[in-house]
Amino acid sequence: MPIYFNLASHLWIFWLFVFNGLMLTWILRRNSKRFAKLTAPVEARILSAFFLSLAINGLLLLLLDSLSLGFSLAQWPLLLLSMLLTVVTFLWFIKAPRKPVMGTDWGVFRVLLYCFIFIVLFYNGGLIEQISDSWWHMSLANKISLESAFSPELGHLTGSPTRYYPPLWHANLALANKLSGISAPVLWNSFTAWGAVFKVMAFYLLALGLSKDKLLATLAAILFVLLPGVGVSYLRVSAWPSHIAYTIWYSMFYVFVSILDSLPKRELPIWLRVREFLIDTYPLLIVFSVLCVLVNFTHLAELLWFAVAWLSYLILASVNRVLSFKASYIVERDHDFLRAGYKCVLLILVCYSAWFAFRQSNGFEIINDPALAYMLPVVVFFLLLVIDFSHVPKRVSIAILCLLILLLIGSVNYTHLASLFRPALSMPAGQFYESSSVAIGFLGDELKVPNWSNQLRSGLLFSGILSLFVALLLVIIKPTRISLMLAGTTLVAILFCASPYLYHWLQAILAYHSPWRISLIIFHPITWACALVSLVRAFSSKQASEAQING
Amino acid sequence: MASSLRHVGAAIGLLLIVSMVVYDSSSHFDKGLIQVKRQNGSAQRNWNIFYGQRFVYYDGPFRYLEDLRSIGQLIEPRKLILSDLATSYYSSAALPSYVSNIHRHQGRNHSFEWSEMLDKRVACNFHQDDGLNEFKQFIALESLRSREYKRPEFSYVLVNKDVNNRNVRLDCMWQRRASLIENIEKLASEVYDGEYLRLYKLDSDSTSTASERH
Repeated sequence: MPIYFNLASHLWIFWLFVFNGLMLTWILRRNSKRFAKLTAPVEARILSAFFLSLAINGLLLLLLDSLSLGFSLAQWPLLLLSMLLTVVTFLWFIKAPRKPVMGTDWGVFRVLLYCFIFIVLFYNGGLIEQISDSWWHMSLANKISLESAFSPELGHLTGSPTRYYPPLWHANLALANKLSGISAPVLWNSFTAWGAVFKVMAFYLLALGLSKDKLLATLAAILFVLLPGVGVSYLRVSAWPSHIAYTIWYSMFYVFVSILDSLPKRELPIWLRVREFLIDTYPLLIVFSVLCVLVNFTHLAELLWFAVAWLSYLILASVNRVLSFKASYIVERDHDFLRAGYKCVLLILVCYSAWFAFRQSNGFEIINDPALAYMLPVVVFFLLLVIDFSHVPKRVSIAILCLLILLLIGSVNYTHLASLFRPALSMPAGQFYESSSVAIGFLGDELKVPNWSNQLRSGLLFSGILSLFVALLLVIIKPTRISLMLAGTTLVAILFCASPYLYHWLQAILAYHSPWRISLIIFHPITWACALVSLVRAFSSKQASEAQING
Repeated sequence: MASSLRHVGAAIGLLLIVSMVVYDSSSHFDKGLIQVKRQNGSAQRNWNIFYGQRFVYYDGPFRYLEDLRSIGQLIEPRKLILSDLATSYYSSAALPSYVSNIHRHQGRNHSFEWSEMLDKRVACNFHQDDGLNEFKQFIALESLRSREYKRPEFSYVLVNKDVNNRNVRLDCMWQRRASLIENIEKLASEVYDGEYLRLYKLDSDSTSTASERH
């Protein structure tokens, strides 16, 4: 295959999905120290370029759509913007070439990794040759392009009205198709190499944000490329809207951690702290809001998984606080703003899930397994809320925690869990590929459980499932933000997949056909990277100390 | 002694983790897995060092793009096309038209009549007289229904002649394309004949028979 294979599509992708954003990123970096610090890693800068380009294109198309103008008109404003941004950047560079801007943080290993991914995916291509959902997305992009409208009048494919699908990525593809004249499948195939690199970069940022350790984050990125994971690790489908959303989703963690790190010290009065926080971190808050909006219009579901991941972290931090002997250790890590937010969220969850349970089980007229499933989260959230209050005596908290653990362990269906390893034990599967399987509860009623065949078995065996034990071990050794996050997310995801009661509730409350995608919050490449780095450092530090003694 | 034990423990830990990583990542370097997946109709979602664009090129629509471009200039927009499953998706991603032969979960069941016709493989049984008659009746009734329910009008039949694309070859419309081509001309006229794709437009008299009867 020649090196210039589909070269034109790559050039168009660079201009439409990177160039304008890159110029804007440079300008923003010169004007905001906060933004410059946030985008110090080269990955953050490139991803910022991609996200800003998506946002600029989306806004422009929205404007054209509302004015009922054709999308082909977008080429003039985009060209003008490119020229303007280039001139501004050039002039600033000429005027103040030595203006101190945060340097670029890049590493040879990472650059080599991204080059490797790009080359492999360039050769692998990204068009799933089996007729899959990717064609549904390309069809939508084609119709958006043909009709120059975000919501094609008659739907697409069959011409019957279809359900709403967040259209930002499809519209961006439609724009590329409209301006370049290159067909959607060629663009889709070419973009996969770019999308895969963006996704791995975003995963690096996620690991870096949590660990603040470049070696660990680099190792996590390498393991992300190598280890199987639930859906998200499929690099050949990196042009799907869900995968664009995963890229943004990972970056959201990175930005959110930066926001958490900027939370002001508790010595000041509350109003001063809020003011200081807003003045100091407003650029980060804006970036975070933009990312949320982008996810909302790209795939949506990741906003939920983001909230679930942080809730999982806070749950484990709270449990760890109960079990900890050193209260001060926890206080350093968990800001009181976060704890207050956590309590509020739990209170809302208790009230909402109680109302939901009451409504779903018709006022508990009949007590059956689904009714128990709707009640279980109410009890769990309530108990979690109680143990988070510092006034509750430690003994009582520990007793409540034991009850909580017993409840959760008791709700797991062990035959279903065993069927992860032995498919012969699997529960009866549903009618469609994504349908849930059915398990029988304690009272003899049917409850839903995930079908392990839905990417879960291939994604969890073995590194995914084993990472739970390693993450818990890391928490026991040192309960830091990263270890609590990794263990909390893995534990919650596996609990929801193994417990028919929790899974049944999740499916009902979300009214979502694939709640098994909660397993996306298992960040096992970071867990394994943590374990590897800890072991290597333990090994090398011992050798170093021995050498020192001998020397 | 304790230090040596820790050393050994750390070394064993490292070895175990590296072994697991090697085991779990082996699928990316397994050449045989590509063929196994292809034979079982399983999509290649993960990267594989031995996978190449040639699979995408032959089992995808790249070679039909020229044909699709020409067809796009010939057809009336917003009409419905019948083709094999793979070509239907390729058409939908490139043409200003709609398709009927798609997966159930992607909206095929929105039209019961289409779903039933595709399940019965009516368009694959043109070699039998019953099949052709049944298809004729379906076209006429569908013409009425599209007007009544304001659905896109069924106007075109697209035949894929490619012999290399695995996805196309799986479909009965491709497998029996010889009889389809031979008989479709009784109901439709050829509009385009490219290297890979041949397009037929349904004759107006075949779509109006039922209307007249009503």
